[in-house]
Amino acid sequence: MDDAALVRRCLRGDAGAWEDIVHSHTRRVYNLCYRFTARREEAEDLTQEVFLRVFRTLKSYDAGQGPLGVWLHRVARNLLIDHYRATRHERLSVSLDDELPRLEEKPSTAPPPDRTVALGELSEAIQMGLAQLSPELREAVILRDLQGLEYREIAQVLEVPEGTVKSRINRGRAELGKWLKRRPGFDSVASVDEA
Amino acid sequence: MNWNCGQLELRLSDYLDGTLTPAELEAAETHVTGCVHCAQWLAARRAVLWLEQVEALPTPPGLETRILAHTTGLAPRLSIWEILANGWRALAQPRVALSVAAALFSLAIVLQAFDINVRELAAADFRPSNIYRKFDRTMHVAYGRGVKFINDLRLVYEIRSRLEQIRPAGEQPAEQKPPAPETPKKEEKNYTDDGGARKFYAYHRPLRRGRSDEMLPAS
Repeated sequence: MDDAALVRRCLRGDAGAWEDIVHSHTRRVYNLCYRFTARREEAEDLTQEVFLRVFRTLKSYDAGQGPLGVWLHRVARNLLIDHYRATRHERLSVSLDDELPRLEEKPSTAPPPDRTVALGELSEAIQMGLAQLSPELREAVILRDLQGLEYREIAQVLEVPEGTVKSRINRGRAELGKWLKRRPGFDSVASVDEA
Repeated sequence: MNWNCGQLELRLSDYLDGTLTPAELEAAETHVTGCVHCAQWLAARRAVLWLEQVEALPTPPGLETRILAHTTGLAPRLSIWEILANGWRALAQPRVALSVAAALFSLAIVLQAFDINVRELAAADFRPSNIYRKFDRTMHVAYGRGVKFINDLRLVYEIRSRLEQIRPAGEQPAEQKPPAPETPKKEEKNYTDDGGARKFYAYHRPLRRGRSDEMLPAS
């Protein structure tokens, strides 16, 4: 069933259709929120907030402007930016404290071969790396490389031209890559240990 | 040795995997520090390779239900299979398995204590009169065993005290050289040797006498 029909059914009061939407998009929205905030409880609350907002504004969904998933991403992204602005002062003081010891770290030299990184360690390192990026670069990288959206879809979500999206993604990736290279264990791209 | 952009691109995977020789690595690093374009491109490539390995987190349990409750005020319709699967997921945890195992173990001990064989249980066994009879019987058997045990003990002590009486009188001095406290096992072993019985009795005498005095009337 296409998104427009699903939304029409929702608007007619079909609870099943809304359940289908929630069921098929919760995981992606939650992951987006988690990658943005790095806190599970906060991500859960924000995911709820996203669906609440979507439910209230379902009438304004226009299938001609893109799939429902992209619209959901846009709602989520706007909410996340609002949330980011609202909590920036709190974050600023926290991130400055985090930053101080890290400045002392020296870049590692010889990369150890056969190094495997645990899955949880990788997720945490990526999370910390993403937190170093500015929100514009971070959202572009998350949407492309973790959420798997196309450039065109990201341009729709962020409401900026595709060229801007590409340049933000490239800059975001480069900064993240530089940050990862300084981290012990991530200086070479080894395999990830599933265990 | 210094590399150009093309050389670096050719050996990119080796560079990212960390499998370049020290000389090659130095050449690559030298080029990267001089070439802004390559440095940026390389860092981006590194990030993509790591990002590809990140797995999406699963939806936290209960989140969908909460969302539906917040929006429509309705809990989701679950099929019977989903309900069963949720129940199974809740049960299939080490904690639950351990508790079940502990409960079964306790039940087994209780059943054994009351001499109940689960395989031979019949409907008639649940009648109150039968339960009473079974309980009564178990109690009697336990009492009988207890009495027999006490009587056996009495017999053993009696035999020992008799043995003591018929022992020759000249063996008392054995008590004057008690064995070293750290080698009691050795003394016990000597029991089977020639003359060892004497030492054994000498060693255990005070304890044995005390007990036999308790159990038996003075003869």
